[in-house]
Amino acid sequence: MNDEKFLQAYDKYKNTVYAVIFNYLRSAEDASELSQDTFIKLYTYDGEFDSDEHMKAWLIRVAINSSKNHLRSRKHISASPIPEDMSSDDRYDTDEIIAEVMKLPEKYRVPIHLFYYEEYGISEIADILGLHEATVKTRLKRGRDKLRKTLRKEDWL
Amino acid sequence: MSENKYKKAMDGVCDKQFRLTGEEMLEKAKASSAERNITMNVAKKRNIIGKFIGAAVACVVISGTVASAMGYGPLGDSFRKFFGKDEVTAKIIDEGHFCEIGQELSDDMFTVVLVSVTGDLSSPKMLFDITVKDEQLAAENDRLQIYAYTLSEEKYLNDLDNYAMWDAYGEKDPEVNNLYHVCMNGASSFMINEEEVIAAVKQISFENDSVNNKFDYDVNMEYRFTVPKQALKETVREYYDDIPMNSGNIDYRLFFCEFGAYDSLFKFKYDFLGTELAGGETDYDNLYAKFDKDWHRFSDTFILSVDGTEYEPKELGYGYCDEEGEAFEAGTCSTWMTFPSIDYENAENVTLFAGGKAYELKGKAQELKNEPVNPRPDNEKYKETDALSTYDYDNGEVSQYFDDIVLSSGNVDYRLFYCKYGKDETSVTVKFDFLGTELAHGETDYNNVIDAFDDDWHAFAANFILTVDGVEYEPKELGYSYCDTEGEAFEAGTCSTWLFFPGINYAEAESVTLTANEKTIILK
Repeated sequence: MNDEKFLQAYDKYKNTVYAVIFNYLRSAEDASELSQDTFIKLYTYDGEFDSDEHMKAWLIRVAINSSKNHLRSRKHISASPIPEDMSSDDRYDTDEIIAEVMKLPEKYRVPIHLFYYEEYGISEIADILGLHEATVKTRLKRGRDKLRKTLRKEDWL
Repeated sequence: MSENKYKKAMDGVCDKQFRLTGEEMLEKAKASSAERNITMNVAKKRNIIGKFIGAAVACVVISGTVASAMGYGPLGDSFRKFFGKDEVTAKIIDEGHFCEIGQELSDDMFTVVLVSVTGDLSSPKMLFDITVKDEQLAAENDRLQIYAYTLSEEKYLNDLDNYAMWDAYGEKDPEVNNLYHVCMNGASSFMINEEEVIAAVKQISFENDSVNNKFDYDVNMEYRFTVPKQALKETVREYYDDIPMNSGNIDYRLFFCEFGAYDSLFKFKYDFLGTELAGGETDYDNLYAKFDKDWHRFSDTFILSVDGTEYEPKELGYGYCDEEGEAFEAGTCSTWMTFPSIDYENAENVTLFAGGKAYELKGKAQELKNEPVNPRPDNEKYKETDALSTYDYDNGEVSQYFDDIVLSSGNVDYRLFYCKYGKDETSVTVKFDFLGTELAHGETDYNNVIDAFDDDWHAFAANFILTVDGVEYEPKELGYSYCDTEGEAFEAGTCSTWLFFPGINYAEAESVTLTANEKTIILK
């Protein structure tokens, strides 16, 4: 990939890659490290992408695979805190939403993230995660149910 | 949940935590790509490294305290000076359990020496000496951090993506400005079988870097060595035929112990499917809080007695459940605890007490004196509360979840399920059903009976009292109910409402209770 294309891709998908890894690993430090690895893989990737969407889906897949590998190989996993100095007036709300999502088991957390952050549909999430659509639906439903037990209605309506 | 709120929040996390610019990322990608071109040719690379390390592929074992490390005097003493004054490892070295490796690799920025390997079979440790060639970078940093793989040759060459790097901090030598000593734990499974191990240092990081503003430096230094058996202190491994210990809810089955120099590890199995605690639930993710609570409550009754000396647990594990039957039967879970290290081999009698019962692990059963030599600090001990689980946040807030504790107003059964303690307010959230209740009068549209339910809640909750260390608080705000007619948040027909008390410092409080009518709920 040439430098210009790489910089454009990085600018466009930096948050996509970091967010999905952070969601998976719940560790800012690990997310940063694996995000860099993911973009390094992009830089050295020999294949062609049909479109930006294709590249985005590829990046998410690589990011998720790296996260899975990382989890398998780590002896201890520590969840890193939510950033302390998030500078906005609604930090309280912001922290709470992230904290509650991060408390969900991984199998609910990742579909929820892909649905709400990436705005992917059920079939796209099923493709990315290699799951049946019915499984994705169930996990989204259960994840939402769990969230709604802890976030007040104004936080999620 | 609002899509925008989650997205906004997550973007905030990304912007805050991942600040690498495109140009910086491009530079890293280019550097890595160049490195990859070199490392592609494994055979060639091994030859180059072979030249560096010469004949030092086998570890030299030297017994006794006279052995010196590469730059800082007797090796055992280095542990008395560095690495948190680690007396345990110093003693292991004094007993002769270490081997000198002395492999040195260099690049433009660093010289890294793998000095020696020591530790025990459960926790092998590698000692590195790192010289930072840039004096200014060294002057700015009292410590550095290194990242390395420790793997077998086969895993390193063929399966690297499935393993993570280990990391460790290095302390600066008090006498040499640019020399750092690092003690890094290695992967026990690859270091105890006397086969070739690869320790590959891949990154060295600094907290301050005004010189290059780079902070993380990629390196590629691979050390190949074998660790002879005697270099690591033996541990004693005992396998048991599932000794059951009953908490009252669950049969925890002791199946493995490892008595090492650093601690004594006890591993237990248990079933969750079909247990009363599971209550018919088959997804362990929905149950783990209940099971962890049971384990931690039960763990507090454990005492390990070794020839009359009693120990309390050091660290308690959280359950891992194998839903796919990879490690155990599907539906079987495992958990663990550690006690301080003991001399199992020379002990005559080792007894584990659990729930007041004695389990002889060696010799004769001991009498329980209940005088542990390492009593756990009070704040680490299990405290009986009515909550199912409690979570502390970094900002000082605390959340508690309850298994639907019924608080009856006489008209409505309100089910307490969530409390949150913050600086500004304490929130109490309850659920209730409206369908079929007397107050609903057969009405199925909640909007038509909302006032009756809100009136009931306000009359009932106005008398709630929050008591914190003897100081009583009244509610400061009573909530209005929300009813989920479509079953999105709860079961259809389930409603929720809330109240606020003033904010409290839950973490510092000794005792916190909620009194609702005649019922008192222990929150802490």
